[in-house]
Amino acid sequence: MSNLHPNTNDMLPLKPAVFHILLALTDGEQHGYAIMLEIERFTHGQMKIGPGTLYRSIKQMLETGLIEESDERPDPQLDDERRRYYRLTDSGRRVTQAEVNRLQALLQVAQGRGLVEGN
Amino acid sequence: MRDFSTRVYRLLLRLYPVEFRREYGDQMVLAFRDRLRDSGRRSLLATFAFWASALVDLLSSAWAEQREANPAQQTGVFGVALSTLAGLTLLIDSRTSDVDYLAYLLLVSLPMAASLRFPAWSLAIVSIFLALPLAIFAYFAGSVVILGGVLLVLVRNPRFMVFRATLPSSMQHIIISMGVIGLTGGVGAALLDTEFWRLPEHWWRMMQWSGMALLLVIVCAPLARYYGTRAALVPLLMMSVFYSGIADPAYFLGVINPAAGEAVWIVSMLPPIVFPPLLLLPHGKVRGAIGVLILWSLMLIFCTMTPTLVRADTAWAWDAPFVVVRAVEAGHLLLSGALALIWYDHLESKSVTGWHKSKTIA
Repeated sequence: MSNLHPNTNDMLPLKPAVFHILLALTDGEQHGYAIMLEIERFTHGQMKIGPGTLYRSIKQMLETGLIEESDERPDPQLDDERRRYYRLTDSGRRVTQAEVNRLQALLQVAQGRGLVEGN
Repeated sequence: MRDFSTRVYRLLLRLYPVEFRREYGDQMVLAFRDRLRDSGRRSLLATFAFWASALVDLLSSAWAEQREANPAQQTGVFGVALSTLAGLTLLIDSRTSDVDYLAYLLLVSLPMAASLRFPAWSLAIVSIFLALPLAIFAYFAGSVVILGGVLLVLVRNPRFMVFRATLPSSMQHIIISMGVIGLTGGVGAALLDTEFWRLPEHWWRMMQWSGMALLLVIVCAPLARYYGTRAALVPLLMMSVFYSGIADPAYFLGVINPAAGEAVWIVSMLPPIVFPPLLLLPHGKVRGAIGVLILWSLMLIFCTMTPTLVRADTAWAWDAPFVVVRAVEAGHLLLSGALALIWYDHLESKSVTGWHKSKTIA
């Protein structure tokens, strides 16, 4: 179903919206609005993604196999059954890890040049 | 209030490609509704702030999605050459040197904006530009806004934009021509002054301009379909040049020698009639080519029945022959244009499946 990318590094660097969505899904499957809220939460409101950017990114991530749609639907009593839930694929998790490593390497460069506060 | 906002948002989702909207439209509405609800709990200001950010998000992502869904087709040397030839035939066939340049620049801008596949943005820019505090510009801006709305409703599939954009532009042709003439004698004179309708020249000019709009449809539709949207832009641009009155071979030759000018005009009517069918032939649309050729030949026959009467300003009169010829000509012009439109639409709809297949495989 998913169209897995042949090389993880070819996908880097990730677009900010894609990276944030991947991070939001690392703890488990989420629906669109929950992803928006989660991103806002862990960025302390610095990053807000609108529905347009969110679903455009989701479409691209589904096409590249970074995420997949969950077959399970929420209990109609608890949530709107029209909602779709998304979760990370193995490929998506690898790409997220690779992006984190890339950013970490960049951070080390910044640290070496005295650009990180507290050093 | 929230329901109303959600309905408006759902309506705005029409800016996205159909396929994207079908797949994610409901999900986006759900996310929008939930976010709106949470913003409303905070404050009215938060609601407005959310609406503003949602609009920016929607417009930017819709634009990006439209571009991605409809990548510019490869024009190629052949397409550019063909479109240049099409533009030249239109250029040679020019008959008007005294028309309002801005009016026709506007006429060309509408299909161009649609051709660039950013209808909302392009029309907004055109509207703002034309909404200068000048009466005549305001009139144009009004017609652009109205017909731009028509365009946005009509054009559901961006691949047909060049084709369908010319429909409202044809209407715009008539509205503008009425307005230009009406404004010269006072705003609204075209509609209120019965003298306007008694001048055969006005009727003829409107018909002539409408015919040129239909000619645009006939030439641009196959160009856009088979040779790329950019190729279709060339004749549109050339239309704007010749409508400016700075490049009209028949007119300039006519100044030197009226008979030669007349001859050039009659001969130059042939290329625009032959050209569109020729564009279809390499693509196996033989029946379509023959159909278009017959329709346009019929138009040619009836149009050239009275070239002298049409040309001679002193001969304008509401006598019986004039009325009959004009009526027949008008009927054929509209009929042939309408049939050609239907035929091209049919060809387009048939070709969609193949286009999708090739895109998926690629």
